[in-house]
Amino acid sequence: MSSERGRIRITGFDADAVERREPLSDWTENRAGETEGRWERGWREFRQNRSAMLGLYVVAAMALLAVFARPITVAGVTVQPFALAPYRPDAILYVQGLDVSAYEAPSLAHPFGTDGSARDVFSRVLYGGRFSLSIGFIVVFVTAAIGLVYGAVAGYYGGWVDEVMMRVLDLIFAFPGLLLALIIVAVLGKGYWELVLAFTAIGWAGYARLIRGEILKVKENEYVTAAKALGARDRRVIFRHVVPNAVAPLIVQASLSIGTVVIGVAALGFLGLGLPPGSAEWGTMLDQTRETIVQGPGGTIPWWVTVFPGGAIFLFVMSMNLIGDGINDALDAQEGEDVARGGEV
Amino acid sequence: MSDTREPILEVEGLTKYYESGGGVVDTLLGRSQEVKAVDGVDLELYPGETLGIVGESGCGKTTLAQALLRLIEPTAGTVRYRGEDLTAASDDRLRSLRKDIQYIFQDPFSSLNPRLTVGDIVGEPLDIHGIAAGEARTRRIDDLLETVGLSQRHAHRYPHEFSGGQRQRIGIARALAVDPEVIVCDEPVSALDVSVQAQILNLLEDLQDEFGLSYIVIAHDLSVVEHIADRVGVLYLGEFAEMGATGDVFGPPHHPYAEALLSAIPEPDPGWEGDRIFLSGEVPSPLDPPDGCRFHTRCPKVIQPEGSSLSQSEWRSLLDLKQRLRDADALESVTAVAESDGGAAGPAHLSRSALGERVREEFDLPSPVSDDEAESALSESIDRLHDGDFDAARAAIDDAFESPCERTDPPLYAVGDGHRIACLLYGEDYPDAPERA
Repeated sequence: MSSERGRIRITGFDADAVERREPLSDWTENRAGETEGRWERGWREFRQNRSAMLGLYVVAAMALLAVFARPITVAGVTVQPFALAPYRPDAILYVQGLDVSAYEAPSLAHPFGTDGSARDVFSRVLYGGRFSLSIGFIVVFVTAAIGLVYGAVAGYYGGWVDEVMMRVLDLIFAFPGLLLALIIVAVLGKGYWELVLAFTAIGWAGYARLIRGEILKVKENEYVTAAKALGARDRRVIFRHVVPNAVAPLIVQASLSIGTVVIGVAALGFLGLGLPPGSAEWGTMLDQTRETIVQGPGGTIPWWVTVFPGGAIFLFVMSMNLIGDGINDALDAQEGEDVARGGEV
Repeated sequence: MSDTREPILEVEGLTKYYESGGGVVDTLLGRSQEVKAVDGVDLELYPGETLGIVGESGCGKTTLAQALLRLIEPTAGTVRYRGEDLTAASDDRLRSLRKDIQYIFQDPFSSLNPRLTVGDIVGEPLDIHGIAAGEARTRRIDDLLETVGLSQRHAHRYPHEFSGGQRQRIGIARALAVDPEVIVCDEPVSALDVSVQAQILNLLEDLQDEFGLSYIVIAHDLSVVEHIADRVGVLYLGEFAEMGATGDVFGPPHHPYAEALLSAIPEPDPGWEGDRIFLSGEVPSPLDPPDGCRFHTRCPKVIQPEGSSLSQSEWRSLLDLKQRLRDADALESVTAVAESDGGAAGPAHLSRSALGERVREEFDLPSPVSDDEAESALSESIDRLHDGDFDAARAAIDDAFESPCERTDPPLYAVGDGHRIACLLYGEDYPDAPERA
């Protein structure tokens, strides 16, 4: 018995012997090449998700059809000579001397029929993808970029900066989204870039709030302090350490809201506040023909003038949502409340 | 320690108060309180030495470590590195000073960015300070990984593929990349298995020999500190209680707090007969640290006023009663729970003598206590409690029992060569205190 403190000694265990002994199996630590990054792993999981891949194929097909619908000419040089659509979208066919009348039912010559001005609906639906898709992608790209930077700055610096920046956001959130877009279009007038501006103005706030919340969480990690201890500047800390770890929910949100924007554009078009009347945008096409939903000339309902543009909107938005869900699963971003589903405005 | 050498790092009066419960509105209205996490800490670090800082959870260890490097802005005080004041340095100057003072983090799982490869993590300081690029950068990363016992094969892996010990090695390699003079290690091994702890501590010692580093090692594990440190500081509620060479701190004379900490080291010898010192009460909130000596609320050796003839344990119990009464508003908080109560009536319905018994039982006080004056003050207080008059009970006991430790904040008294203890027992006024052997 003693009151002298002892020391723990381990006997019978020789670390060197363990290192030197014969390997138990032929497993070696040396793996070929670099290990799989997060994005590769995400892409592998995404590819195994059938519905998401289906969505991707549909969106890709619609994008290709839109691009190759009519030739594209830049500054007098034709950069895309193909024309899948048989007619120009704004061509009134009987004016061109063809034997076609208004509201002609689908036939081999006109697979989707013709509309009230005797224009070929098939050509218009194909071509219309250019408006909806490009507005959707441009708006989401711009809003996500603005929201990312805004939210990152607010969340990272915190305090007064955060307080002021978030009150500005509250101002945006105070308006119902589509209503604000409607007002902006009403003030600026109809047009492609006016629509982009209207949806950008209402869209970025959601991303900013989402990314701010993520960044508040991520910046508590010790590797952020570690980067500061190494002498990194704020910009480097934010964009190399904080944002890459906070960006996954933003990507999910962005992919889902492409559908939202397309629905929104179509909705404004249907209200007559989208693109100028006569353009082949899907929502505007619906607006032009909405009286036919109830009753057309001669008591028949020309269903083809509404079903095909409406179906195109439906197909695209659903596909985008499938893709968004697939990305969500692949990146394992948290599901639920803070990631809104596409189509909710 | 040899005071002839110039300290490489000199800290004076380092203080960090946190605002508590503060939204912007609270701050405007002056409603916020201050958490005194670190309150006027002085220390010196000499070249090539290891200074250990120990203390229990919440005593301000990590705050001290991060305030040293201005990872959090200190409220007051100066930190001088080779004579240059870090707290006054501009942002740019501070950034370049970070090449000389580095930090190793407690948690190897959250201190490495999961999105970067190990090579990029270790290479980041090289990029930030423009130390190496291209081929030279790759070579330097390989060198660093090998220095800490990893292999250059690991450079393309991600942190999640490594064990805790390996991750801590990566963290060390990252700190070494800038060729620092001083490394502050915040609980470098507390997140690791015991066997891995030893490897990492040995690695730190080898690196110290190889590169002539100076360490400040924060830990709550006394055996870690005993193993690695040349000097030790014992932190209690944001102030140093004791400071000295490792052997001096681990041997007597002790600060009562350090003595209690040392007695709590687990002992593998089943024949061990040493006494474990149990501290009464809880760690006081740093929102409102006690006046005088911060340890007096729990100190088993708290000083009695002159002329008192109580035994030390009775004295401690009476002070506990006094502190408990201070914020008590119900009899339940100062009486023992009787098992035979049957849940019928609370202590308010007890007779005077039964109440007295319960109070004495709760605080382990004999009846009567060994000092007449004390006994009469205690009885008086219990009388008042029986009447339900808490203020009077408080007054009766406050006047009778007051320790010098409650009034005087002890400075660090020198008790040996470089060994200093912040306890009145070692001051000039108490030359014959029992501890001063």
